[in-house]
Amino acid sequence: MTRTKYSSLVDKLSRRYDGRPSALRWITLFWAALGIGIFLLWFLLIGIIATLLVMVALRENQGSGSALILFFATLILFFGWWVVIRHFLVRRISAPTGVGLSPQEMPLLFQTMSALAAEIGAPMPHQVLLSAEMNASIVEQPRFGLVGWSRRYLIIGLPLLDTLSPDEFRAVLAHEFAHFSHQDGRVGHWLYRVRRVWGALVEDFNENSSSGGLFRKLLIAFFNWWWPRFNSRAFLLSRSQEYEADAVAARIVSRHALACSLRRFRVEGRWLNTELWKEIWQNANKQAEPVQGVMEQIRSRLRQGAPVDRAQIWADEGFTTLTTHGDTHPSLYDRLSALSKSFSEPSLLTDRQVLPPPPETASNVYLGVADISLRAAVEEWWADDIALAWKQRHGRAQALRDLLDRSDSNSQGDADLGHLWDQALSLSDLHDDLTAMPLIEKILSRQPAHHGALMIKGRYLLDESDPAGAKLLELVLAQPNPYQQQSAAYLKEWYRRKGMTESLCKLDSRLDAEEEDLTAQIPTRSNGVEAVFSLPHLSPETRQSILHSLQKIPRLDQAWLVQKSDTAESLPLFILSIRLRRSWYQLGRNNAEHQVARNLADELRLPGKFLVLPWTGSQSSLAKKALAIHGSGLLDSR
Amino acid sequence: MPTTYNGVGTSYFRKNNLTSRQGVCKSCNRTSTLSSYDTRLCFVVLFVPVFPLGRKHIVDQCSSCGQHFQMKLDQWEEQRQLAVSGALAAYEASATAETGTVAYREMVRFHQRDRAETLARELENRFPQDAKLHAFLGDMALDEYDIDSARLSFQKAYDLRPEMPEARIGQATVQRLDGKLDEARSLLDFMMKPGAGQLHDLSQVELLGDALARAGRHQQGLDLYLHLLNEFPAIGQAGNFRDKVKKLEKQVGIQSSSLPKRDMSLPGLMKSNARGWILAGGAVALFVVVMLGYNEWIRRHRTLTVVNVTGQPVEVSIDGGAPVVCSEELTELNLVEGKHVATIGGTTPETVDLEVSSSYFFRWIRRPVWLLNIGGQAIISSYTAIYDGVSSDDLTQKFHTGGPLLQFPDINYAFSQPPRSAKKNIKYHVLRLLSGNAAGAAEYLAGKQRVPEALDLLEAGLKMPGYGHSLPESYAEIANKSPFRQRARNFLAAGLDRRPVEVEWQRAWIISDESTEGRSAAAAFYENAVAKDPKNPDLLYLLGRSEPIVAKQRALHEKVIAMVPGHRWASYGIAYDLVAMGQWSEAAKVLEPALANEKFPERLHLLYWQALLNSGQAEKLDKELEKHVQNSPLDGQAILGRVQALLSLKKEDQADIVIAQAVEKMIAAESDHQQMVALGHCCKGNFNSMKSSVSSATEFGKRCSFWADIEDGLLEQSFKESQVEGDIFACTDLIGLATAVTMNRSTDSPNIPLTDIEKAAAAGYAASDEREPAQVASSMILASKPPSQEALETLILRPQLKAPLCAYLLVKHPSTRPWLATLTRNLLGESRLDFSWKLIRRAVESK
Repeated sequence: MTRTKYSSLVDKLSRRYDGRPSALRWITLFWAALGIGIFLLWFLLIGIIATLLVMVALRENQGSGSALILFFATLILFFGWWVVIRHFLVRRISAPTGVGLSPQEMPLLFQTMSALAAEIGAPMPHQVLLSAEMNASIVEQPRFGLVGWSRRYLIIGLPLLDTLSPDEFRAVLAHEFAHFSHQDGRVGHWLYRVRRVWGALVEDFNENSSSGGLFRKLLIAFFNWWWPRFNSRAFLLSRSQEYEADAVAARIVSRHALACSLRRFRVEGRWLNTELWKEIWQNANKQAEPVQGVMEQIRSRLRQGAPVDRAQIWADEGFTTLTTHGDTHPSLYDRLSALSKSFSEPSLLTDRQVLPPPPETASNVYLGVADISLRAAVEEWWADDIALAWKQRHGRAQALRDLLDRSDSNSQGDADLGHLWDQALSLSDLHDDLTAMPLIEKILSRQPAHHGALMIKGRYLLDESDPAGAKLLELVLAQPNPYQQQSAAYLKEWYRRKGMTESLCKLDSRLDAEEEDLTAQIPTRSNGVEAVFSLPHLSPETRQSILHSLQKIPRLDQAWLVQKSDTAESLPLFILSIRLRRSWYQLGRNNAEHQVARNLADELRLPGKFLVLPWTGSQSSLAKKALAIHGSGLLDSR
Repeated sequence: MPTTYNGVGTSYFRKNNLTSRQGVCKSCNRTSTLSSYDTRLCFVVLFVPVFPLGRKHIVDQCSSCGQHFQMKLDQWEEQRQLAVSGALAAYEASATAETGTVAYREMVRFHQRDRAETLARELENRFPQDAKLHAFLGDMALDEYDIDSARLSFQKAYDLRPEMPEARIGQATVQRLDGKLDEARSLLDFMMKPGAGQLHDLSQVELLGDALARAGRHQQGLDLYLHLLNEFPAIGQAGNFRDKVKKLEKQVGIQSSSLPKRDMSLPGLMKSNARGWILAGGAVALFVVVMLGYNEWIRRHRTLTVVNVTGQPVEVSIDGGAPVVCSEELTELNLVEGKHVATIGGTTPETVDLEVSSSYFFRWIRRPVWLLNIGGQAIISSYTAIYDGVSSDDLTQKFHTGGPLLQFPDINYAFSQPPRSAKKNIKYHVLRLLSGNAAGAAEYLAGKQRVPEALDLLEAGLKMPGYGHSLPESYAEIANKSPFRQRARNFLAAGLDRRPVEVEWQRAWIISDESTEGRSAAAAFYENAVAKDPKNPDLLYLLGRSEPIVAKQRALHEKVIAMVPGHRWASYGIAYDLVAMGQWSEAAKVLEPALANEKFPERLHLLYWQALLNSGQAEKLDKELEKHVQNSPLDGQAILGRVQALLSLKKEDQADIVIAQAVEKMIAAESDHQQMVALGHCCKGNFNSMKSSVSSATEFGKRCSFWADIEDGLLEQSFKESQVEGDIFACTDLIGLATAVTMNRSTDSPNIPLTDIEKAAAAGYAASDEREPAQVASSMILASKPPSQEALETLILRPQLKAPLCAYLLVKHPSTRPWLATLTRNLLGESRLDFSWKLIRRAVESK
């Protein structure tokens, strides 16, 4: 299912189940049951077939004949079941990692959690982990795939503790516990878990969807039909549960604490992810082992607070960023709106100032005397966790530096464009876009339409919150080139951050069109009726050149030229329809016409994509449609 | 992919816009010529296109294996036009090397190599200093196996920018292909730096390593592999890579491998090269488990079939377990393989040790059958059949009797026929339970010249207590006609002293040598026996049976009956003499007390039924046989006896119903019903219907045809039919032909040599089992003078032989008509079962 279709399905379902959470839960349950039912049916069907064969073999008891039947039964049983079982064996959902916390180490934290759990009516997690992320989450790890028997983990990011005040942190904890509260419903958790397991399975199946035998293809066909339908409903349910969890947290702790935690998370999280971590990882360019004192460095930076100018931009973006269908978490604005509406407090929405760092952080309160040792433990865990990535980054930096050195030593005077581009790419990769910018400017001064350079400059400008970057990226998307996909991704993120819904939708449609088969762009007999055509916008020279080519064709009777005007494509699409004279005895498809169309397509050059369609054949109805456009006639030799 | 079978199927027709290139086939992985073209898919008959199925574009058809991709021609053409025109438009809008390479790629993708080549030249001219463009064109040329063009392009790129990775990699590739491995190694030095794997595709390093290994430069090759391992530790789990490294390490002489330990977890192994082996191993393991389970299941589910043809329910208990009542002919009991003790209940319980076992491996491939033959009475036929889809052809047939435990090592169909779906021309081992006793089977074997087997079978049957009544006589008769007479005589002599006297056994001993000396010896034996035990009626009867003089014989039989009224054998002897003289009602009176006494042998029943039919007691016979048929619905003799009775009572419709019902039951029982239908027509006198109801290929069918022709007056035809080889035609058939010929004319003719027919008939009579009376009958046929009335009346010959003889003598010697016509009529009575009945009636009634 394409992005556009999936989005419209989610929107449709969102409207249908608005204010009817129970109905949404039931319908999601139905789709989940359907998936599991088919899954079990598959097992059952294979089992029945194999059992029937075994029964026939035992009943007949015909020596070698029965052995042969049993052999086939074994094959069916093994491969029929294996196609599903292997995904559980090979792709197991691994347990989250981090530094395990105990009530002895952090008595206050566990007391707070117990109190919240009791108040909300949620079970305590099986394990609490401390990680290096700016986040808090509860993760359920099913030990037997769809069968379940899950283990619950609460993961608390140390930077989050360093950012939030104790109350704000309690609000975050309350939000997480609310997800597993009895009020939120066990069905909801189960569906959440099922979605996660199925998601992993579907991803595994689709990794190599073209390979495999009949069994695998049948399952893939089912997944392709079922997964978007289940996922869209489960997604909506998860999102509604986010709002419900927010409401619970606001009620139990305080709406202000929750709102502040969300706003801080938005700004400080962005700062940490886009700048602080980047700075830390820059060290990988120089040293082979992860740097020391990272957690301390992060704490001290977070205590100072984000640079005010950028912080305000990020804070403002928090209020403009759109809720998308890619994440179950609603945008900051939507979450605050919901809170504001529930508690009739408009100030939650109007106060958009950057919050100063809290006088006392949650880490001060909850870590207590264990602060130093826990921080060291998290740092050790982090270093271990990212060791391979760090090593790879260090290797890449070395290779880039080597490449740059070679490039420098071989450049003779004014280097060519390719040379400059390679250097710019290496610099951008090794350091950042800013370092590469002088070279990028140099490239663009020589070749203003250099797609790669446009993409890097556009990306850089968007990171600096300069809307001019979007224009550059749109230029990249205008023509076929290797940087289109990356540019589209940057542009999408920009539109999302800035709340540009319409632009986002248009971009999605366009990406869908380009990802689909080329034939999807062709107006066919089924969709061609709806296609909108107009007279072509061509220069007189181009028109003359087409006429010249047409006039050389013997027996050419008529020709029409139109332009498809409703295409989302960057290039225009022209349809040239030709008709050859034919003898009275010639019926059906005119092969000569097709050969002429083929030759003409090789000969012509138009300022866009074009199709030369013969009057007869599978596209004859479309070819004849050009006739209906007044003035489309290009040549008539009758 | 289109396929044809015997010239019928689908095939491509014509090739338009053909382009070819050298490349690696994605199916067979061989370097071959890959062709792309437009064509038409057609349905073909004898490889001639009959109707088109659609226009196709074929992509990369391999010259080696023929595999290819195909899509609809129109769809292909539209995609081609859109992709190429779009890329060209972009290039024209912004003429850069980058957009140019995109256009070039699209053209190559859609096999427009000429246009792509033109564009390449244009790009080279337009951007001569663009090293990346030259490297790209070099790559494209390599894809097309155009090494020379690739070499030129890469050289240009390298000259322009020697540090550029694409140029160095391209140059290294060309150098490697040229065998200049040191130069290639030097060009790839930038890939040998730590961390290079994070930036560059190191596949060229591996290829160079392979080339070095092939060139015997093992250490250098190994260095490259180890660099790859350092850059990508995960590659150390890849089977191919491990093999290569291990091989080189061995060549270099390194003892401790640099490879990491293999990840032996299932997910790890599933990602390795061993995946296929694991899958196959898993399937095999599952299959082995299933087969072991199957073997155990077979071991625990053996079947012992209890065969009970005694007619009485029998209780069988295995290992002292609960007794199972076996009232059917076949009862299956489940057993675990091993030694068991079966206790067969009854008045005197019998204990049988059973060993039900087979070897471990044969359990999977053979299907043994174990039979518990109650009383050893059942006759089991085993044969190998080849099924032709309609009927099975018995290749070999063996008969088994006795027991009590019979074992057959491999039987496909035990007591059932191969189904119609059985595979043709495959041998099936079949077991069949024969109805009746061993006599029929023995006769079958004797007929197939397998007399020793027949005698073995009968001896096995005779050794069982309670052997069938007819066995001894069959045994003696089969032995009599073979060189094994003395064997039979010795075997039977061993039972002469058994008491109480087994009359059937002793009769058989008498029959086993009916020569004058033999009979004398028998008479002497029984005179001696009677002297020792004068009040034993059985010995007295046997003395009479061995007496050569008929009158004395009769007197002794009457004496026996006086001692034991209704003595079955004496009654039979007297009745036999009476029917030979046409005195049916007297015979019936003699037989009746014997029948009331005890269970009779079949032959007594038949004689009694004949006596009833021919003595005007058809109604009584009808009622008696109606009851009998209810109990034995497939007893052909009884059914036809009833048909004759009904026809005698002028109840033709009822006779038809009886035949139709019998046929229906025979079809249901999958028994041969053709003879029943034919004999039904015979009884009604419809000889032509009889002829057409049976296959003329069978012996019975030939006899039916012979008699139908006689009845139609086609005597020449009948004569010709009688001249076939073998003993198809009985003496009664030949005497019948002689009668018919004589009735038409009295002299020989070249086409129908009456004398020859007469001689053949006389020879047939002489060879029949009636011995001395048969010899007399033979001489009567050949004699030119008629026999005396007394001689013929006292000739003790069964009516089936005597009636046709009398009819012939009647027409040959018309002077005998006053007395012979009556005798003949009496002998024939109402019997209609013999083919000659109508002819005999005509002979009697003719003037």
